[in-house]
Amino acid sequence: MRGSRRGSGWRKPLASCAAPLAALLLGLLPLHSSADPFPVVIDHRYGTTTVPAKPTRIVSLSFIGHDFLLALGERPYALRKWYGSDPYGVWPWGHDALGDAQPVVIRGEIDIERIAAMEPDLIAAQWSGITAQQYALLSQIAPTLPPRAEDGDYGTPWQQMLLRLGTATGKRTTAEAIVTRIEGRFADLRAAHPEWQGANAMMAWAGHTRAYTRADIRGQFLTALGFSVQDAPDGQNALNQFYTEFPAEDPSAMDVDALIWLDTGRNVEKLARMPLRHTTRAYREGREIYADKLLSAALSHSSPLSLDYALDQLVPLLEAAVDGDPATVVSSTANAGLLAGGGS
Amino acid sequence: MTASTLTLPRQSRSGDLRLLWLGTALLALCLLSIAALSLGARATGWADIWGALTSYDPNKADHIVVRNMRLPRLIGAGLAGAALGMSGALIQAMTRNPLADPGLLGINGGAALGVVLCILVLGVTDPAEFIWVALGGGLAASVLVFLLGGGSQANPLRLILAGAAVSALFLALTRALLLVSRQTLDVYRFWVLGGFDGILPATLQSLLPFLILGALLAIIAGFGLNALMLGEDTAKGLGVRTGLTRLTAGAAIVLLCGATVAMAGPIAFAGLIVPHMARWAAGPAIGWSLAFSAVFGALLLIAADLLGRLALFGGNMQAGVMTALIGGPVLIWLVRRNGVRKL
Repeated sequence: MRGSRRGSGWRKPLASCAAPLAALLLGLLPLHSSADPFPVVIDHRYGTTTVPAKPTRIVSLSFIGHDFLLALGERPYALRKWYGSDPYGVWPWGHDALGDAQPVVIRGEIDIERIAAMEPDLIAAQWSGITAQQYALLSQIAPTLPPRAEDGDYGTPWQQMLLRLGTATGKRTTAEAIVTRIEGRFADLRAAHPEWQGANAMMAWAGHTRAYTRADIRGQFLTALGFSVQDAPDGQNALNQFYTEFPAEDPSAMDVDALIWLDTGRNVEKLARMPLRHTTRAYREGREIYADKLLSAALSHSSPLSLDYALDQLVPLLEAAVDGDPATVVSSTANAGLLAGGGS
Repeated sequence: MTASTLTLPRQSRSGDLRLLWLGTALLALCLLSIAALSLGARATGWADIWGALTSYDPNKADHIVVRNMRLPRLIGAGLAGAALGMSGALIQAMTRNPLADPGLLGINGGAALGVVLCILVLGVTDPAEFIWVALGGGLAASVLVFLLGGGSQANPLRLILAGAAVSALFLALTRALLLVSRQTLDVYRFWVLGGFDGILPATLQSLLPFLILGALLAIIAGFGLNALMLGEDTAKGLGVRTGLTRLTAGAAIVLLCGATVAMAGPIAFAGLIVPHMARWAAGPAIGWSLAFSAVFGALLLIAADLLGRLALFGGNMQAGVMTALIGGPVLIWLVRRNGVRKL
């Protein structure tokens, strides 16, 4: 669809007029937002979806989308559990918003018959990996919201996740307010930390030589703080655009100014015995940050609820790691017993 | 080794020719080992390899790569290949079926179920922690197969049926559990391909006794199996205790294959094709076949691991995938050239 739009030359001038026009309209939108009229029409990678009226039974197939719905004050009827020990698949930062609601928990692959039986009136499916065939079936059950074409399965920025869900649930104004607040927090942090601007940072899972790229939500988190993050590799080495792999024998590309090791809480030992780790600059200069289970999950969700938690936890660790003084201890790394020389 | 006691009348190759073959294969193994130590993502010179082996400096990246990364992989792949080759030769001789594979005894299925339960229940994600559950699961499943297959009175057909049934059951259970947990699947899908990524010297050490005991039992079983291949009655007429032979062979297969699956995951194919290569070079006598299977198996897996990590196909390819890619064409060539050798 994007290709045909790009291909036809005569539409280009029209499109260039449309953009400022749309911006103007968007600017006027808050004036009318108290009404939040339905139906709403939302564009996405498989076409367009019309939500006829405010949904009340939302089935969230997204691995992180329930956090976004909860941030908008919408409790999903059913949600897809990603990981963690919570019986309802919601991490601590979402507990208050969930309250005493007991959503149906979906695990594993998408069972379309089961979803049909739930009689949803909105199926939220950004960050769910649904295919065109699944979309074709799901959209017959209820209005279904896949990601935009340009974001891919797991690349939707948190702002887009929230704004699009806000539109679909009639809470666009709330969504915009949340985006403004959190973007403001990122902007303040950027202003307060000139040393981060343009410095290299990387997130990898403990003990692996694979790191998330700028296209992934974890890469986007770091770029929002001003860091420079590895782009998706070009050419035949690109297995997908969300992470990039380095040879275990030569991880020199991982020698960055801040290296954040994500963990489910079980790979400290594997990280400690990683063969070339103690020859790296990140190790010697104390630039490694160990992210525990909760912080790793907060970064991996990158939701309006988890971002605040992630920033609260990570900012002091980043300050210690990027100050250029090897003597400054990154507390989480020290607590995990991963510092050079076991301490100091 | 006195070849005459282990050979059969119909075998065709002379002992000298086989010794020449074995010598050539061992020489190739040495050359391949040197290549495996010197090639990789990081360029290492001879001085670094020699230095890493003789005067190891834990602060030199090149030494670390050779000593802590390439050497354990080399030893692991060599041991796993030899073990899979020998256990393949044993099970093909025992079941008198050229398509038999050590995984048929339920070892891979049991190990897989053990690993998945371990990830799911205990949340373990580090393959180094899988070895004991993999070994235990494999042992338990193979005992079940032996009991269902008739124990020491097992006839080949019943054993194969029991193995296929138990393997299918365990695989179905494994898949059902994987369907529930995406996280488990992510860890499992790398384990199930089989490979020597990040193998630890400690893992090799703790599995070595199982491999040595398995190899000894394999040699002992070899004597009886030679006669058993002539048929149950003939073997009994020759004074072979057939039940004991089967038990010994079974124990050897379970130990060799169980230790391998614990070390590197279920590496398919090697146990199936290596004995065919060995019989092509050595003839059907089980003693020679075991020796050749060990050397050819080590060659195949070291080559598979080396090619897999030399950035083929845009990065790291698990050795378990490479064995099929290398071994498949070799097997087809052997079959087209000679036909499958009779057991």
